[in-house]
Amino acid sequence: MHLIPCPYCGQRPQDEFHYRGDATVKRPAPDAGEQAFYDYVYTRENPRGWHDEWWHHYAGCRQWIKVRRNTLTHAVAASAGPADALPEATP
Amino acid sequence: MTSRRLPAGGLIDRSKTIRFSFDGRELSGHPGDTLASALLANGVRLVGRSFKYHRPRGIMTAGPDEPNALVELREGARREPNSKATEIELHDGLVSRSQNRWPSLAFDVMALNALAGKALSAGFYYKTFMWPKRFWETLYEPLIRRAAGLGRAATEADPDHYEAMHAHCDVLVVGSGAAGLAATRAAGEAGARVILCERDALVGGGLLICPQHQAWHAEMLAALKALPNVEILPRTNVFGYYDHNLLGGLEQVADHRREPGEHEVRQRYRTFRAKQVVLAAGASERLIALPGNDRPGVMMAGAALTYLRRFGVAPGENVVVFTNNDSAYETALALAEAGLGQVTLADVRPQSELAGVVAARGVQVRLGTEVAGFDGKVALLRPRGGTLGDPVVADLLCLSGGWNPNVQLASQSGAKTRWDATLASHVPGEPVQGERSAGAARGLFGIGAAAHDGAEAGEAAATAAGFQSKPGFALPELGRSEQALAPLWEVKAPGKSFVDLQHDVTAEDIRLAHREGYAHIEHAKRYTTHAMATDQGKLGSLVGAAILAEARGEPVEAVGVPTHRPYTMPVAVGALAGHTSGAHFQPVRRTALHDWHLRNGAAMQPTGAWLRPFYYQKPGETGWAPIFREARAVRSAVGICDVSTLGKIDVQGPDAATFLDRLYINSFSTLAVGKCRYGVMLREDGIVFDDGTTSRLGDEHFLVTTTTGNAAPVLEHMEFHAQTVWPELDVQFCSVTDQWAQIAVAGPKARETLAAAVEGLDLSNEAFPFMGVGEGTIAGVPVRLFRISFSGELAYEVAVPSSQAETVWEAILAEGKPFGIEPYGLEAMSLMRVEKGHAAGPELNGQTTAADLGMGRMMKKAGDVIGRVLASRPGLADPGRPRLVGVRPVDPAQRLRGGAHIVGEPGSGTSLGWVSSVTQSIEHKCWIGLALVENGESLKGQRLFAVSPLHQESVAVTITSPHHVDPENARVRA
Amino acid sequence: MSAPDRRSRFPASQARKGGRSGDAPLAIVERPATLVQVTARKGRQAELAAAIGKALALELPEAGRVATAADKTALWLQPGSWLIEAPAGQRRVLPASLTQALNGIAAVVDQSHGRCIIEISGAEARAVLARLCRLDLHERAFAVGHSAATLVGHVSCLIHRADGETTCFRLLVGSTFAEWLLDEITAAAASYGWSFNSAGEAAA
Repeated sequence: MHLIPCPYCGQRPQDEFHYRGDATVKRPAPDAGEQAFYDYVYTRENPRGWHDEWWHHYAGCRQWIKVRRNTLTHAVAASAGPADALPEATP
Repeated sequence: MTSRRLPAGGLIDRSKTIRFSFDGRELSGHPGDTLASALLANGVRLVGRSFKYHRPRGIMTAGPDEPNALVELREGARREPNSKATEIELHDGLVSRSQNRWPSLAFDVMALNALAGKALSAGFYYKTFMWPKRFWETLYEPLIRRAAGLGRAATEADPDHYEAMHAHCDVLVVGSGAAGLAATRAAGEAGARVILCERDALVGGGLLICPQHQAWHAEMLAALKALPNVEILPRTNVFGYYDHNLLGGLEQVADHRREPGEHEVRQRYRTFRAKQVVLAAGASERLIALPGNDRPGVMMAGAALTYLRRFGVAPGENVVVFTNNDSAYETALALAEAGLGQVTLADVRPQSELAGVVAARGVQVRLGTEVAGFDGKVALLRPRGGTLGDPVVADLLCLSGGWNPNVQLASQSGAKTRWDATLASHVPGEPVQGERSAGAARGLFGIGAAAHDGAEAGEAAATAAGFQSKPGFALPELGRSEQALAPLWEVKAPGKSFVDLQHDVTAEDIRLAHREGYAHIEHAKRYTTHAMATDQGKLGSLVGAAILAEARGEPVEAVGVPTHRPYTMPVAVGALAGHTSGAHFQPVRRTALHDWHLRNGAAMQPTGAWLRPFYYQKPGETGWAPIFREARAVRSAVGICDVSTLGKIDVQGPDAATFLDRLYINSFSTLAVGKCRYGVMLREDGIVFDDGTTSRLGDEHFLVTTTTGNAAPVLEHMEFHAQTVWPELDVQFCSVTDQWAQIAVAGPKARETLAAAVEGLDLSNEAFPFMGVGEGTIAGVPVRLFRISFSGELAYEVAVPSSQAETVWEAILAEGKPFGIEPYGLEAMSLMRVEKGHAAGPELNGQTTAADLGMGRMMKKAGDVIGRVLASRPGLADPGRPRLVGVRPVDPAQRLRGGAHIVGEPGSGTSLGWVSSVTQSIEHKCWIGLALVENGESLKGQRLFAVSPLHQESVAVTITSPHHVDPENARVRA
Repeated sequence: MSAPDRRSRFPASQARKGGRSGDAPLAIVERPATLVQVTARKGRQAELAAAIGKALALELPEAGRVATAADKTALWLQPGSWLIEAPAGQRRVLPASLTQALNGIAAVVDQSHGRCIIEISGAEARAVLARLCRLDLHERAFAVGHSAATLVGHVSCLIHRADGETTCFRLLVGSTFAEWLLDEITAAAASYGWSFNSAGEAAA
């Protein structure tokens, strides 16, 4: 049971969250075309290491937060609100 | 059989007697005994047969590393196999049986396996039972199952209760020996919230067999008891160290009793979320591989000391202690002082500082000596590396190959272990989580050293957790420093030398694995099953690794040991499940009308988390009768149904309409206040996500309804887009599913029924047309009314503040009585929706597009809509895709089945689609269905076949419109 | 005419007891209330706080906190959103008056029937919750005035610690989950013993 640091609620167990994967992909403009939407929905990096992810605090503050998590060590370096930016980079 | 109980000493209460049985024999022991110590006290030497060779085995250890003394405990529903006798607290009436013997422990026919030992060598499962294939099921498997295996599980349901408990602390201390106690006190006095877990029933670890430190032990316990911020959990084994400093443990609350008390759980699964952890789990003595090292009468030297000092039991009379280190000298001394028989100490080292001390007390010391074999009666001693030996009469052979720090938890935490050449063992490496090891767990032996190290670790942990104050209490003096051990893994001599007693793995098996190419430790482990048994290889894992290293021609540290994973000790799955079984398995939601349903004969059915009425059965009704009665009432008069489970989401804000326009394929900005509209939403990949009606309650206020199953996912979907994709939109959401109960009133008499019940709203067709939304009161309760229909009849849905649902429901029932109103359940609702051709779960199956469901034209011409772009992909826009149609059997007497394939000709292997939903139509008096069929639109009127190979059925069907009833949609507008 | 508001979410309104008869049984009481959710329109949070201050003399608390003034309590729900709790008698009045007072400033939604308040108190209240919830509810970590939206008995709950002599926690749970949660609590409290009073009894 991992701890996810919710920027509003503090450290919370992972079962309060739903996971949605890569938080760096941006929904394309409506006229961006099929390939852009295809990439938005399907094309994903599979990084070994730091990964910015969406986690929905469904059992808590109901915010879609961004979490920078290390896929190798499960360490969490930072989190941010849905409209806020994560720090530039984590070494 | 003579008693082996010593007249005095130990932590047992000789004034009380406990009766228990082993293999049907009535025996007795004392409070404080384990089953193992009581068996030894009663002179029981043979306690089980080994897994593969069925060799006789005795008690080897005094703790969780026990490989041999596995028993079936208790009887009936509480029967539990593979219980370690060394871990079972004796209680009155305890029933235990040996395992793995047939027909009896003393005479075991399977022991013949031992003669055929070659056939059962490493990898025998892979090599032996390969062919002929049919022999596997008929011969090999039943034979192996009888021969192998470890005891029988109970076949009845477990009558006991279990629970989970989640604890938090600043410092968690694992192990209550000198290091653990000192760490606990240091952290506790610094002000930290401390939890101390001890696997044993008694707190003290090694202190329990150190009479000289009794006073310090007692003082520490008293001091800890006085600290309110310290919690001590005995009988609690910490079995796993997980991410983010979460540890798992098992508290054996009532295992030391015959059965748990009233309202008492038997075991408690615990989680510990700790800021800092001190691992003080001690060390385990390791085996020496030598021929006969599994014979009854072989015991680890530390265990022998425990039986003497803690339990007051003499584990043998004439004893040979075989060691490569100083620790076993204490055992030899204690045995000699007990005055039992001749004690001989064989030390492989050429010199020993302690030799003189123990010799002076009567121990015969033989330096530079090894034991080359043991048969239970005689040990063969010979000079180290020699060939000729001399027999020494011994009924007990004590072994000490050195001590392995218990690094399992540290290793699980992610810290790589480090090889310590002095100890010839692995010690915890650099921590990666908030943990540190202390005392013997990191290779510091002796009470004084452990206590000092523990105090430092406890203080450091408290400081790391944010507590500054310095504790101060007395610690035992540091003892003498020990002489270096001489690494010793195996004494090579003819015969079976075991490295894993529970799985019957020999040193030769390891070498065979190496010869056959399994040179990696993880491969050798799996090929030989070494260290895979319930003792997790605590005795011999490293010995096996060392033998593999020798075969590889490399040092032990180059080979490593297999990865340490949870669990450090076996844990019953039932304990992990806790109380979440039976009625507590998963959350149950009840609508506000739940109790009315129960009082009125509803058959309740779990649908997702909800309990919903399936139908309301009347006396004498069987089969489909109640469903037909309910549906007929709706089609001919009026029915009432609890539809509270629909998801309801309140959407407000200046941009609410814009937001909904992007969410749904159709428009809501054009919806008038006081009206509702059916809407379909897609996933971004273009597949239909959900559908439902949305009402406009005000310019900036909408009420969205979702399907029952998608209520939560739709709200998350809305939140995702509002928070992350279009944060510029000013829109607010809130689930009101539980605030409002919702009641459907449907049927030609629905208006008359409701008109009589509702005040403050004109329900005439002109004033309140189809898709109208209004407010009024029923029985004084303010309600919202929606003129919508799922059944296809003239219908309304009434939303009621949920606490007043029953009042409103009863009021409507009363007004409907003259018309013969019937409450109807899920089955009648489903019958009518299939008749009407409404898509539901089986059609909204995560594979269908709006066009597939005949709703392609709902997509608005312009604007940003979730899923619009990808829905236009060629594969999804293909007109030939399976499309929603109706199916009816050509012969009305034939039944349809959901899941049947639609084919062109009977026997055709080409499926054109499938039947998604079926029912027995009350309007058509036959089975009808909905199906998704390729090119379905163009096949209407054609004859195809619904085949169910599973039922060997083939039914000729006609493809129709999905709207089996009222395709013009006239009734809902009546 | 006005129908009585049947406030209890529990069918059997009579008081009940269960579990072991111990020294410190858990007291479980249903507390009916008026509950109104207010969510600020975009960028209107300060105006919302001011309007609530004016209308109810109540301060909107920061994240994870609860604020009480007179007979009203404000509980933080999520960024920009609070739950206002008032006595059950105000169910007909408060939602309407707040809708009026907060027009254009916040979305106002009546949740009086949507959430059920279960109060548990007793020396072992925290130990009971430790069986149902993974949060640290020790007074050092979760003091009076602290609140958390979390999972209790596998369902979403808003929990806060109430003031008083004995340890007391209040759980706000979706009303369709109320019976489930009560069953979870009584099972978790079996080894201490428990008593339950539904709304009907409590009001008397």
